[in-house]
Amino acid sequence: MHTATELSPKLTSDRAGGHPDRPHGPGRRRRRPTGALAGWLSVAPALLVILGFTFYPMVQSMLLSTDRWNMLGPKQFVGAENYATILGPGTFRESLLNTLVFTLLTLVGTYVLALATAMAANRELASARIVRTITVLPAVIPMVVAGLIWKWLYEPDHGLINTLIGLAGVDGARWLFDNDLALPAVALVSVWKDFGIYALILLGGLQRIPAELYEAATIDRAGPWRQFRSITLPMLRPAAAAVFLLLVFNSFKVFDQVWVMTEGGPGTSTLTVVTFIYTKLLTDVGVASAASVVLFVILLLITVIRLRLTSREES
Amino acid sequence: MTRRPAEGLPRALWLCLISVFAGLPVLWMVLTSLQPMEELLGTSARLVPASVSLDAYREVITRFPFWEWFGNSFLVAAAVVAGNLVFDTLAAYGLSRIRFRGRQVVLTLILATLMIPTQVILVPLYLMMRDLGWIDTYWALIIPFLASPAGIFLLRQHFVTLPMQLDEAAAMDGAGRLRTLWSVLLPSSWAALGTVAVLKFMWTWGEFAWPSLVTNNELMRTLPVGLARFQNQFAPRWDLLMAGSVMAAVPVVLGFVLLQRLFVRGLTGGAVKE
Repeated sequence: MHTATELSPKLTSDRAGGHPDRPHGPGRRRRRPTGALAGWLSVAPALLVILGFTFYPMVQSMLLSTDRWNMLGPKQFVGAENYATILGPGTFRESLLNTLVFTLLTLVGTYVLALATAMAANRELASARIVRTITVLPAVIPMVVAGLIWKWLYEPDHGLINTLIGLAGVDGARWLFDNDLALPAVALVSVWKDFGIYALILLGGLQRIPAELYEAATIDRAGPWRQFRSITLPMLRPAAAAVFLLLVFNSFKVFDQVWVMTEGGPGTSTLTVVTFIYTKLLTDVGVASAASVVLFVILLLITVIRLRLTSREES
Repeated sequence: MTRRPAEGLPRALWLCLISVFAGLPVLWMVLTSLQPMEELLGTSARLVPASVSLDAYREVITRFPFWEWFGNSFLVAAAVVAGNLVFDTLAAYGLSRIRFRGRQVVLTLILATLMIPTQVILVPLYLMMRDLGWIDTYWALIIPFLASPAGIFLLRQHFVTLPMQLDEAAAMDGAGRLRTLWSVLLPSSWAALGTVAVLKFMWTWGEFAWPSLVTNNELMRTLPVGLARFQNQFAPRWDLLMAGSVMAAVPVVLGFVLLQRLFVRGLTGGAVKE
């Protein structure tokens, strides 16, 4: 470490902070003062970026939400009017409802697939690794690409889905062009993309359950269903809670695949909260900001619930 | 472990089924990209292409500023990853190894910011970029994302698990703070750093809403934005769209395949033995 000794005075932030070297007292505490300067220097770059480009815009969002402004003329203060507008009957309410339905569909679909996959892959099967690779693969692909793939799969006349359905002698649907089918069709893309990731998280939870519990249950003649209910589900709760909240949190921010596949249509049937914000962003700044603040409050509530749940699991 | 065959069969069946569900769309993308349009719009879709050609790839590259889009995506993702590795590591170091007045405040602030996703600050962030004159420049795509609360949080969580004795030993040898961070802490943190790098790269590479908002110039688009725009401009040329999609997916899929172990360990909290 000879070189380190030689180099250190030039490299330390202590030195940069102007603390004199103390040749007569080389003790740890003295050479490395609990320097406020070193601390602040280390966090400053990141802090500046985060304060400037996330924290400050967040505050701006709240301020803009009380203005009427089309980005060109002067701003006009209108108080809570934007909130009244969006929370009244209209497209924002629809987008909120759509987002809720989307979240519910994604939640149920992903949960069932992820849990079944995690349980099937839990045994040391030779194929488990291959399955893991394949099921996580969609998560790596950019969302825009996923949206395009599925748009092609859903294509009414030549798409793979309707072709396969046609083989069974049934007429396919016009998936993304049908008011009732479009939202579930888009939700399926989210399920497809992320169930593998959630299966992995659940798998981690499953592997933490001690095998002795199952052995004891088998000795007590508990059947597979009974074992699932009395051991697997309760022991899986921490992982399951994490998956649940991540899913809800992410579903509320859904945008990319909606924009690529339907742009919120047909009509407003796939308009989600972020899609709504996007359509208003350049023309109705105040309304878009108010919608952003509402979204933020929802996400904040979800986060608080998440923190509550995780801290309870830990205690 | 003795496996009862009656139990093994449905299990294996499910794994096959779920693999088809996950893998078929990806396979379909690749197959489509290799077939001429006339064949795709034939009477029925076929899984095995009648003829294979790379024409679609050639056309994507020549008809669109594909390499510019690809280059933009790569440059932006690389810059964001590099920035995060430096800024997040420094901040995580300061927040875990240095005691200073205000540390708790900074930590709380960063944790609070963890809850603010880009989606809820799109409007004011766009306005900032406009006022700074950063629209249609790399600055808008890179600067706001050079540091992230999530990265700092992850790295701090890791640094906290490393024993303080390491720092003390380094200090005894006369190493300064940066030296200690560089040659003592970082070598035992490659897994955490790798996770941050991979996640950040994937996320930035796939980002769509923000880059399509702050780029108007065709040559400033990132790959996902270019692809999405391109599908709106033309009657769907699925062969081209899928060829472009394959090329947009390759870098991240490649990274994923190479770093899969790390990924699996990160997600399962180390519970799954590889």
